[in-house]
Order: sequence, then C-alpha cells, then structure tokens
Amino acid sequence: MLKNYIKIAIKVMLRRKFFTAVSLFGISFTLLVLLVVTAFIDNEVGPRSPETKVPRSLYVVHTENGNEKETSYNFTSATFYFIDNYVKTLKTPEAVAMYSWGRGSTEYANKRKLELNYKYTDAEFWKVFDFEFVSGKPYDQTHLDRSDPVAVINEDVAKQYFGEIDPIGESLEIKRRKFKVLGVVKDVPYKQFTIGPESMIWLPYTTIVEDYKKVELRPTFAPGFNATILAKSRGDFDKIKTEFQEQIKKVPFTDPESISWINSEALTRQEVLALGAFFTANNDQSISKDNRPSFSVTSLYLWLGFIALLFMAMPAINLMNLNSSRILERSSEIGVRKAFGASSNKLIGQFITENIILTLLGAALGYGLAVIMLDIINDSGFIPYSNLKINLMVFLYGLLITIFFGFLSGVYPAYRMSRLHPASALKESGA
Amino acid sequence: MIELKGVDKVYRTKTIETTALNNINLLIDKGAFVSIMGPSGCGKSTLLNMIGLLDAPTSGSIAIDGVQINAYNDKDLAKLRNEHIGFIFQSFHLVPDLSVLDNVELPLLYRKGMNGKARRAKAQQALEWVGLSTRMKHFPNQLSGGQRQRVAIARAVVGRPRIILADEPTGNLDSVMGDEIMKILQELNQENATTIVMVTHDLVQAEKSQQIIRLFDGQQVN
Repeated sequence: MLKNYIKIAIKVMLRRKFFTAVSLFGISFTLLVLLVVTAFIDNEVGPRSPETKVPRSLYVVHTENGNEKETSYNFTSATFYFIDNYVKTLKTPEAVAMYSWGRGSTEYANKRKLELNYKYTDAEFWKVFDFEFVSGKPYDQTHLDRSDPVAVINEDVAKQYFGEIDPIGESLEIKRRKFKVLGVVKDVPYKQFTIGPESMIWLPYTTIVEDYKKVELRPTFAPGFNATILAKSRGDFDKIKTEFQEQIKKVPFTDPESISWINSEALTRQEVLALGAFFTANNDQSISKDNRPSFSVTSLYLWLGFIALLFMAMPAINLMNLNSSRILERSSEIGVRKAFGASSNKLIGQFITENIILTLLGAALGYGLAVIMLDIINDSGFIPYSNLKINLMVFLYGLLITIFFGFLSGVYPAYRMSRLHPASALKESGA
Repeated sequence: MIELKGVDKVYRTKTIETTALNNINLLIDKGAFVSIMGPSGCGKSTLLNMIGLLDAPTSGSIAIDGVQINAYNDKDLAKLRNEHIGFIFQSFHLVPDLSVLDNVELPLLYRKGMNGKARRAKAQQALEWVGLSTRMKHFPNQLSGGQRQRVAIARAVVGRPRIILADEPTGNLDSVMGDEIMKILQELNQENATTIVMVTHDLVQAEKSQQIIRLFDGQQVN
C-alpha cells in the first residue's frame, strides 16, 4: 500500500511540475533560513573552540552607571579598574579571564597593507579559553609582571605577516611597538552580536600604553574590558552572581555628581546574545534609563521561536491552499478509489503520505541549499574566519517541525477530499 | 440478492428540492443481467449509485443478500464495495497517473491479506482476459476508448465481485467497440454467474439483458 502511495505521490509531483516547484521552494527556503540563522546563533553561543567551557561560563561585558539627579545615564563597557578590583577578586569561581575590547591597527609587512585586530588579556585568559596552539605557547603571569612585549597571533596573521618564515621568536610591529611572537593559534571565527575572546593578536594587558589602571568607572582613553568567569559547575552560578552583586556594593564613588551608582551583571552566553540582539534592534540614541538594554533570554528565544514558527507555518498554509485547490482536479481518482473500496481514512492516509513525501524532499533540498549557503558565507569573509556549520540537532528539529507542518497541511485538504461523496466525485470526467 | 424497498432520493438546496428517485422497489436475483433504461435525468445513474452503495437513500432500505446496509458506516461500506461490487463507468475513470496494470490492481490494494505479488498476478490475469496483456505498462492516455473500457472492465472484475454495475459502458464507444464490451459482459454473466446491472440508453444493448427496468421522472414504470 505504502509503495503504491509513494509511486503515485512521485507521479503526481512530476505531473504537476509547477505546483511541485512552488511547494518545494516554500519548504526548502524555510528550512534553509532556519538552518542558516541557527548556524549564526550557534556561532554566537555554542560551545566551540576556544569557548568549549561555555556551559559553566559567565560573562561581564557591561556596566550601567549614572548619577542620582538622573542627569546622566550610561550603558558602557567595564573598565580595567572595575574588572580587576570587583570581578577578578571573586572567590567562588574556578578562574576569571579578563580581556579588552578589540583594537585595530594598520601595518605594512610582506609588502602588504594589513588591517590587524588585537586584544589585551591577562594570563588566566589562556586557561579559561581553549585555544588550539599550532606552535609556541601563550604568555604567562611572569610576562605580565615584567610587561614583556610578547604576542600570540592567529594562523592568518602568521601567514600574512611572516609568509613562509616561522613566526615564533620573530618581531611583530603594532602601533610602532615591537612584540615578540610566542605562539600561533588556529583562527577563531568572529562573533556578530556578542563579545568573545576572538581576535587576530593577543597581547599582555600590562603592555597597554594608556593609563589602564586609572580609577574610573567609564572607560576614557584606555580600552574597555570584559571578563569571563569560569565556574566550577553551573550550580555555582547563583552564588557567583550574588557574590558579584556584593562586590559591586563596595564600589566607591569619588565624583557623585558624575557617577553615584553602578550596576552590572554576570551573564550567561545566551544572555550576552540577548543583549547583543537588543543592541542590534535598538540604536544607541534610544537607550536610556527608561529603555534599558534587556538580556532576557526567554523573551529573545520566544521571539525567535515565534518568528521561526510563523516562518515555517507560511509554506504549510501555502501548501494547504494549493492542496485544497487540487481536490477538484483529483475528484475522479477519489471517486474511483472510494468506489473500489477505499475508506475515508485510507484516502486521508494516502494524501498525507503524498504531502509528507513532498515535505521530506523539500527538507532534503533545504539541507543541501543550507550547506551551499553556509559555504558561500564562510568563503565570503563576511564574518572573519567564519566556520558556520549546520547544527544537526536544529536540522532534526526543523525536519520534525517540517514533517509536522507537512502533516498539518495535508490533513485538512485530505479530510475534505475524503469527505467528497463518491457519486458526486465521479460526476467529474475521467481519463 | 439485491433488494430495494421504498427507496427515495431527494436532493435539497436552500431553495430547491429535487426528487431524483421516488418509491423504488426492486429485487434483482443472483446471476441476473438487468438493464436500467429511461430518458436523461430520470434517475438511472442515481439508482445505480444506490445499488452500488455510492450514495445513500433519503428514505427506504437497501439489502444485499438479505443484509440491510442502511446502518453501515463508511468503513463497512468500503469493505462491502471492495469485496462484492465492481464498477464500470461511461467515462472509464482510469487514474491517469497510473499504468494500465496499476489501475487494474487498484481494488486489490484495499483488500486485506493480499501481497503485491498476488495482486500483480491477478491484475495480469484480468488484463489477459480482456485481451490487453500487451498494454500493461501503457498509460490510459495511450489507449483508445475501447481499450480504456476494457481496462475498466478488468479493474471491475479483478477482485472477483459478485455484482458488476455498469453505467452506460458503451456510451462513449462506437457500435463495434460497444458490441465487444457487451460480449465481455455477457460472458461474465453467463460463465461466472456474475450479477450485472447496466444503465443504458441503447435499447439494442438493453435487449441483450434478461430484464429491463424502466424509469421516468424518478419512478419505476412498467
């Protein structure tokens, strides 16, 4: 029976090429978008090298501050002073890494102009994050204590800056200062909405030229800093968050006219993404004390889920519509099948099978298109060092949802088809 | 074996009520060859649909082999049609997406306990019987009208039903083809004792049957 259903489904698809093309386009395009979007989300929040410990990591990426008169409100990155004194000093975590926001520099090497990005970090940075070292090693606390001008670079910089020469022990010039290369790591994909450890070059923070130790709560000349707190386990998150809030209460305000309060939160990776999504959706001007940035993961995922469902429901509705309009076209077949012993349930089964086969074909096509699309994005340089991949779990869920919608879009038309009275269905002309 | 008692069929819309059949009482014996005749719109096809359980009467009762089928549900009716009744239509009603063999196999798909091999063998046998064994892989649109009707007959007989209902089976065919189809129906009736109920406009063809039922304006006339 199933073989016969499949056979007729394929024949119907081939005979109604336009209908098939429209349906396949709807299904495959939906799945394509779903897979590409989730590949982006995965790139932002998924545990991937060097952020393999994401499930037990918390991130401090912002502070809010202002004065009591409410004439000033700022949502800014944290300063070295804040991170060093109130985050690095936390007792509960296993480790805390600190790293600056990225900075850029244009350099000339190998007869080429290179746009380089670099970040300042502490020594724990290399313990919290699992960078894959191709050669050499990271700098350690001793290098930081001595303010050694040393650097870790990625493979791309090694290739572009040094060409065929082994970069270990060689000098790299950044802003007219020479740094000795200690290690080379594999390229790390950049994130689009969130902050992470990715960069092209990493330098010890003690080599910062500006007065990075300045007691300030808003970064001025020195770069802003972030921290990644590595908990011993996820179970420690609440304890760490509470301890962090206790720490914040200790912040003294030397100039209350300017800043008399400060807030910050230790966020999970998903919350950092939610914050990034808020900033993408709102421009800087609209952010105020009354429109504070949100990092609610629930509302972000609810929105994303709602949009995804809506997006997936559209081809289903389209399919339902097209299917319904086919009832008359196939009334002779329905009449004949009923006359020769098909019950309404059997007919519903047949039409749903046809729909599910069409849906599965669309899903396979969508998967193929997503692979091609991600390859194009990865090769385009749109995201530096991007290595977007299809999330197989998402594909499986997407497939289930697609089959569900395929089923749904088949049920109603199939029900209507099966309700057709055989006598009236047969009034239509046959072959 | 087929008994209709006081069968009425009334079609109602919001404004109009049309009586298609009025107080039909029929008894068709096992192995009979009956023709139903009458002018267009007199209710011939409606009556055939009632006998074939494709439509339900507004009132009255239908019994097959003494069993009232009024209370049968969709599934029971489907089973009864599948096992006991074969249909032949004026416009053939072959499924255009299926090959000749697949079309003939179709009724057996709904029969429990029959595997693909057995279905195929029976369908081939039926096609050989109507002389179309060389056309099994063809599609309906590759056949002439007469050939299509022979495929439809093969489909009607493949499940070995005891009753064949034919709605103007020669209506779309020329006289030569029509005679051929009639011969097949007569053979089926005489050799297999299959009960045949045929709707026709053609008196010559009707006279080949054993009994003629005449209808006028939905009523039986003698």
